[in-house]
Amino acid sequence: MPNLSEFFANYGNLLMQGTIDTLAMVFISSGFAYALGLIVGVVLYVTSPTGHHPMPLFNAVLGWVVNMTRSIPFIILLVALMPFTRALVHTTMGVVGVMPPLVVSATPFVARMIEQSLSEVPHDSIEAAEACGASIPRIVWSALLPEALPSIVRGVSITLISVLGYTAIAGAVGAGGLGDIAIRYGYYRYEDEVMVVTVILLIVLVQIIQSTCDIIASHIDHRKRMHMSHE
Amino acid sequence: MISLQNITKHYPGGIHALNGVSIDIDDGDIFGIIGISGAGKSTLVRCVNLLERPTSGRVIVDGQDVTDLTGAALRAYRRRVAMIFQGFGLLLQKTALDNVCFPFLASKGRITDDDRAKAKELLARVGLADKANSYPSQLSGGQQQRVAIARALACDPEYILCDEATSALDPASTQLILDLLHQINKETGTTILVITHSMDVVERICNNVTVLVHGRVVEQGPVERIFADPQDETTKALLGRVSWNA
Ligand SMILES: Nc1ncnc2c1ncn2[C@@H]1O[C@H](COP(=O)(O)OP(=O)(O)O)[C@@H](O)[C@H]1O
Ligand SMILES: [Mg+2]
Repeated sequence: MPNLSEFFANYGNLLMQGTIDTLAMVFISSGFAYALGLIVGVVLYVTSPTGHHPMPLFNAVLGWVVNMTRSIPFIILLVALMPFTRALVHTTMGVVGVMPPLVVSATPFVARMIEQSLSEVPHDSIEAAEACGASIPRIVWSALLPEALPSIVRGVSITLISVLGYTAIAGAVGAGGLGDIAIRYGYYRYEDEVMVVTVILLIVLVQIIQSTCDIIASHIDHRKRMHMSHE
Repeated sequence: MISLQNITKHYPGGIHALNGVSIDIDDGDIFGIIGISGAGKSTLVRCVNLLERPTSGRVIVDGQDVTDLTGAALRAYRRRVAMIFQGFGLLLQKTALDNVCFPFLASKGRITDDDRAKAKELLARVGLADKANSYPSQLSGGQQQRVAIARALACDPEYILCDEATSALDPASTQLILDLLHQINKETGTTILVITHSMDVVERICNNVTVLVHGRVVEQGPVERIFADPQDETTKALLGRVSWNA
């Protein structure tokens, strides 16, 4: 076991860059995925047969597209989307090259989670908003989404952690980031220390993401008395 | 005046919730609709503000047929007809004040300082001046229902529909809510439609009552007459004059 300062002198910059790359991939891709997935999730909810604006056929088709995309394993999606990715961002390598498949893969995932969060909102409250004469966009924006927000934030941690997992897979095909480092050093060069440290970094990232989302979610959740900690 | 004309409502699966209900509700009245669970009371009241579309029949309000209203016209109509629910229907992530302001948001897309001032007055009116910044989870059931009443009053409705508004409340809160509704009716002339399964509620605040059984009106008239001389077996049972299996 080489001493720690020597290790960080050798690999510190590499690991730092890997962490930054990973965070960039995770947060930027998830940001896009939420922008798109929020819309798809709301549309799925509103157009469902029991929704505010039932469109059964459209809803079934959209649901089918979402399920199709979700059923393709990420590594296959990544390869299959390469022409599209190249056309969009002019590369299939590195942090930027992996973002389009990450977004495509995470969006339907996000959509389903948003739909789920919305459907947990008590029907009563939403019906009361409707009875006040609110339009559908108003109901969605001012009643449904705010009511679902704590649940949506809890979903964010699940999404971020899943996307973090995808970035590690993408590392195998040259995406950069911690996954790439773990594979290059751990698998090809047998430098176990580097791999161990990347694993530790990944675990720490997951913990930070999880705890942060939990804290935010319980802070903004007014369904329980505020001085009580959430379950 | 609300005139329900031969309303039927069928749900998929052969459920006939309403089978030709005709009721006239005069302006300024407190009108009761009573029936046991499953009689079709909620379905009927939801047909009035068109949360539910009747399968057939007409809903006429002040001479205007509102049955087929959609879009902006429907939303404008709903603002004239406020509703209070058994489960309160408050937005749990909004304060009492923001809940009361919601109808303003619904009608204009924003909440002005005047709106907020009015909402505070309404909260004071229902005795909750000090609870403006409380969330529903910090309020008792009776207090939550008072917030819901303040919200109902926000748009100066001509009609208030109460679907089992006191059924989830203890006797003291029930009394408070009924007194409040009575007072509102007296002061503003707002017509109130009271849905309930309790003859006690009817006796305390209604002038007229309709008894609903299996989606049909079986008895209708002034409360004193119905109480003095009930004709239908269900009415008698609801009054406790005969047992249910009689
Ligand atoms: N959305 C619905 N779908 C199917 N059946 C319904 C629906 N709403 C009410 N019903 C049925 O219609 C009947 C009347 O219900 P409801 O109006 O809720 O009665 P009440 O309010 O008097 O208890 C019941 O048999 C109920 O099961
Ligand atoms: Mg009911």
